[in-house]
Amino acid sequence: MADDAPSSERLRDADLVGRLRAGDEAAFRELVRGMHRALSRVAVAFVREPTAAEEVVQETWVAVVAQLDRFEQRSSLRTWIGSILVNRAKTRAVRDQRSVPFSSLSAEDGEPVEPERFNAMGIWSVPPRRWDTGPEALTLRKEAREAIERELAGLPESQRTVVVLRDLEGWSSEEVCNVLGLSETNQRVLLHRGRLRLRAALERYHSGDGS
Amino acid sequence: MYLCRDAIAHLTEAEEGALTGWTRFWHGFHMSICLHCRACRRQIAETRALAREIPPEPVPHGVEDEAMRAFRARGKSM
Repeated sequence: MADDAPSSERLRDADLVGRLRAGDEAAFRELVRGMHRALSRVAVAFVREPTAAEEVVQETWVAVVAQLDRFEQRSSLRTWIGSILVNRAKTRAVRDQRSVPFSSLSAEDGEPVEPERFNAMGIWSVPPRRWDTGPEALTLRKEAREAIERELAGLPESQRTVVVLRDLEGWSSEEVCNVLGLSETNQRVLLHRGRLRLRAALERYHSGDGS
Repeated sequence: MYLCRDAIAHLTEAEEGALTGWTRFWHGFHMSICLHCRACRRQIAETRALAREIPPEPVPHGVEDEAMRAFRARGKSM
């Protein structure tokens, strides 16, 4: 489970773990809040049902507290917590007979790129449309963000999970691969397809044909 | 021949330093000469920057309360 977290991250983890072991409630609350989106997304990817996912996240925090003194910092703190969550989520999925393995790639993940945008040779036939990035566009930033949010919600589970962890939560590829049990290659493919779909959604928004 | 479709398919691999040998060379070369592919790469970066601004959903009270209860109980047992 070791990963190559940068030394600054290791130092930050060491400091945080020290505070947690000393009983710093504010640090723990911050950790719970800071990791909630990532943990609930991973939990949903395994158990599929939001209520069950919430219970898995709750059980995970109780387990993290119980095992805190056993954390040896061979991985990053979030890899360790994520792994505890995945083990619990798998157990829960089996118990609920929803045992759907985290699929690295599936038919719903679609084509690797937007094939209709290229001609037979592989050159752009419909190149990326120009986006309005002038000062007035800043006022539309919230709308654009909402367009991305809608597309994100519609991504296949695996793509969505990887994109949330990497691009919204800032996890490293090693952390994502370790927690989700993905190969580097499959993780990159999921991330790439998800990113392309989000870009396409924003392009539709800028063109005025996004909903 | 290495064309736009290949360059776009390799964008994430390039960013993650996963391209090697001639693929890496041709990708770099193509990106240096192709305005459309550079625009696509820039738009993906802009999309990611916007996505990072999506506010996280709040932690359900039950989850946070239970976690804090466990944490306080650990403190008392030490």
